Amino acid sequence: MENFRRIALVGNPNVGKTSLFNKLCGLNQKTGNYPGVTIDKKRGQLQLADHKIEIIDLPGINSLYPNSGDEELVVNYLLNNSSEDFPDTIVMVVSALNLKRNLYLFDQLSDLGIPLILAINMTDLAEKRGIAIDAHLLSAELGVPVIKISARSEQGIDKLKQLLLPEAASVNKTIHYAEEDNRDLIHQFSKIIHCKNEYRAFLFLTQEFHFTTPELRRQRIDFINANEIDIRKWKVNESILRYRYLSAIVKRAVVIEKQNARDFTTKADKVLLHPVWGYAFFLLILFSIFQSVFWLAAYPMDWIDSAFSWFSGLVNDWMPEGYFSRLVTEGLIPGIGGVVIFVPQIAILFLLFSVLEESGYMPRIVYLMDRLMQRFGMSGKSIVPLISGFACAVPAIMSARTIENKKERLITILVTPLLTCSARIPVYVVVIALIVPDEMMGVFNARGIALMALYLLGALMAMIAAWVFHKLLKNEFKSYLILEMPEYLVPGLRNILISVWTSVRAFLWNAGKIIVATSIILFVLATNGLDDFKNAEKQVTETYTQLPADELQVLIAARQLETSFLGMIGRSIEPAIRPLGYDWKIGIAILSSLSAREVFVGTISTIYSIGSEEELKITDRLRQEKNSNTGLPVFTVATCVSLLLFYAFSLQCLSTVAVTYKETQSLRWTLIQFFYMTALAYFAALIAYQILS
Amino acid sequence: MKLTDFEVNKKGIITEILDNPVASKLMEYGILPGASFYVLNKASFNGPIFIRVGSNRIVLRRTEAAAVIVE
Ligand SMILES: Nc1nc2c(ncn2[C@@H]2O[C@H](COP(=O)(O)OP(=O)(O)OP(=O)(O)O)[C@@H](O)[C@H]2O)c(=O)[nH]1
Ligand SMILES: [Mg+2]
Repeated sequence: MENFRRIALVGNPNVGKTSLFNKLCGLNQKTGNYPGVTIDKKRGQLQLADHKIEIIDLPGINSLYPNSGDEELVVNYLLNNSSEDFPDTIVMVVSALNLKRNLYLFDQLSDLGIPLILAINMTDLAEKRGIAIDAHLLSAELGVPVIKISARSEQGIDKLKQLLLPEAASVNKTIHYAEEDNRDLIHQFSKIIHCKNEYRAFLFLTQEFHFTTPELRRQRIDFINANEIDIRKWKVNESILRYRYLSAIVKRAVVIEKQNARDFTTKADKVLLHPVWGYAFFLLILFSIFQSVFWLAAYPMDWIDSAFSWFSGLVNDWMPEGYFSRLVTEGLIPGIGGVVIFVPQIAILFLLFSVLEESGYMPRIVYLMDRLMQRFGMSGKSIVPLISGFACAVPAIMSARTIENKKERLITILVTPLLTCSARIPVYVVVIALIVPDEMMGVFNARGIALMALYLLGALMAMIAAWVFHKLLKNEFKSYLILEMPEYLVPGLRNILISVWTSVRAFLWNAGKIIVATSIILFVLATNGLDDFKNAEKQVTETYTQLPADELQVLIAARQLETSFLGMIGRSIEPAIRPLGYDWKIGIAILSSLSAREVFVGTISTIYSIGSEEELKITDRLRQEKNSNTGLPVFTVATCVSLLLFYAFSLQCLSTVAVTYKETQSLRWTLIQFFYMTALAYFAALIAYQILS
Repeated sequence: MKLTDFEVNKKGIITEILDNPVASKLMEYGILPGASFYVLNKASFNGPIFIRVGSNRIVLRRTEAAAVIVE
């Protein structure tokens, strides 16, 4: 293990740690131009000469005084120097655009005595802004290797790699973060708690950590009381002293030639944060995203749909008649096709979202919405999870970690799954196509408007639910908001393509594996049965002797399906769902999509193609479907509206349940989330159907 | 004068941070006595305040801004 080194990337939020990590390790972790993109420790590897180097990417921190879960994770990691996982060297990443502020954290880290390398990122932008940084001078003043890099243009990355190999030295500075009278006290305290490093002792004195042992806790309190230490004052002094020290250095090391020349960000903010236009623009952006998802995707979707029914026909002709051939053409192909046709929509949605995230607009929404969100028991910061909830609730709920206040965070987690995630799109699109004509309303497509209305409904319900929780829950701590605003950046094309690709792959893979499994199970259940099933053909032929052969065939197929095992299961749950307007086949589809919503489309297209000879597009097939008892269409307006409402509110996503449990660490809140959403879904669907039918 | 009362598009200097729970947080962000700042924007409906300190763009709520004394 001699040639193994572990290197951690540490730095303020949004300075480009993950971008650098991706470049070093050739990985594709998510980046974005706002603080708090990375919320977990990520590992990567790099082979350099005969060295194996493990790189650890971490969430951004503002200082060694954590306030939120993601920051706490980093500080715990940095202070736990007895852990297996402790880094040999830290690469401290700072932004050339905001050097003084970022060096504050560097200064704290260097007092911890861990070997450091300072990487000044975003030098490509700094050059354009006329910011010149003297790396030699900084290196001499700070006592560590300093290297200028750009994680985007890859400038300096190779040089940085070379710096990773030699043993970096730790800095030995005298205490400059406390007033002279207090230095002795710090020294004393470090003796009491047997801590060699005085800044560590200082941190243990000025704050209590999760992992503080009862003994240390007692020692701390005793020491504070005995010496009448004003912790708050100590912390304030630390900031003042450090900034004073750094100002002197930065003044000499950084030269800004043309300050604020062509300051695009300030100009853009004049419009984008305008008291009126700012909000109008925000709504316009969301509206355009959802509209594009609908109409941009329409053409590729049609192609895929036609391709699949053509393909299924082809396979049908090629394959020998038989059970296996039917399994493929009536089970697998429709099941998979039902999901693949939504790839264009998913891709477009994620493309537009990643442009939004990379541009730097996200924190502007936080700013605009903070006041409003507080009325609903959340923080402006809740906007980031809520908006990513439009893509997928799982990463969205995880990103709520950056919210400092417990109550605000909990409410955000509880309501995020109400927002229309991408897995609902397939269900919505299929069902909307059954009841809304493909016509234009003014300049907008009627179906596009219907989809928009469902997005709005989800958002509205999320706010209502949040408000209810806000009224029910007590707030233990005062909440605050201090947020750094990034500059607007031109989104990196590579980052965007990566984001689209990873999301599409995840969508296909997650939905795909469940759908392949369910469509096989469904098919087997639907094509086997007890005596009734075996006698179905004979029975029908004997009852309807006059019918022509092809109509007879349809009847036999229907009869067989109803008497199959699948039919038996479906019939047993029918009483519970009939009040909502669903027949047993829809019931099966809902049941099979309990773990993931998009499976609904796969199931429904499998169920309705079993026993059918034609290769039809999904919506055409559903539209033709008649209730075998009444002879009326199954998918009436009432049924469809009820279905839409059901899917809008129900929590049919195993991954969301799991992530809520992981993030809240509370079975109680996980269950509350599941049951309030399920109840909401059931009763909304029930009421809608009863009124409309 | 409090930062909350300061006008938009004006430059000023921070003179004091009143003692409050987030005082040290503010200072970590570079909101320190002696620093000059510029008010970029104030959100409507009593929303947050958007200032610039050095090369740093920072948003803070009015409750926090009320503890920042400026001139
Ligand atoms: N122009 C330019 N942009 C960069 C550079 N490095 C990163 N970026 C952009 O800066 C933004 C932030 O990058 P991230 O890598 O997500 O930053 P991070 O430090 O991991 O952020 P957190 O995980 O939120 O702490 C992204 O939009 C990147 O595309 C660079 O060297 N030049
Ligand atoms: Mg990151």
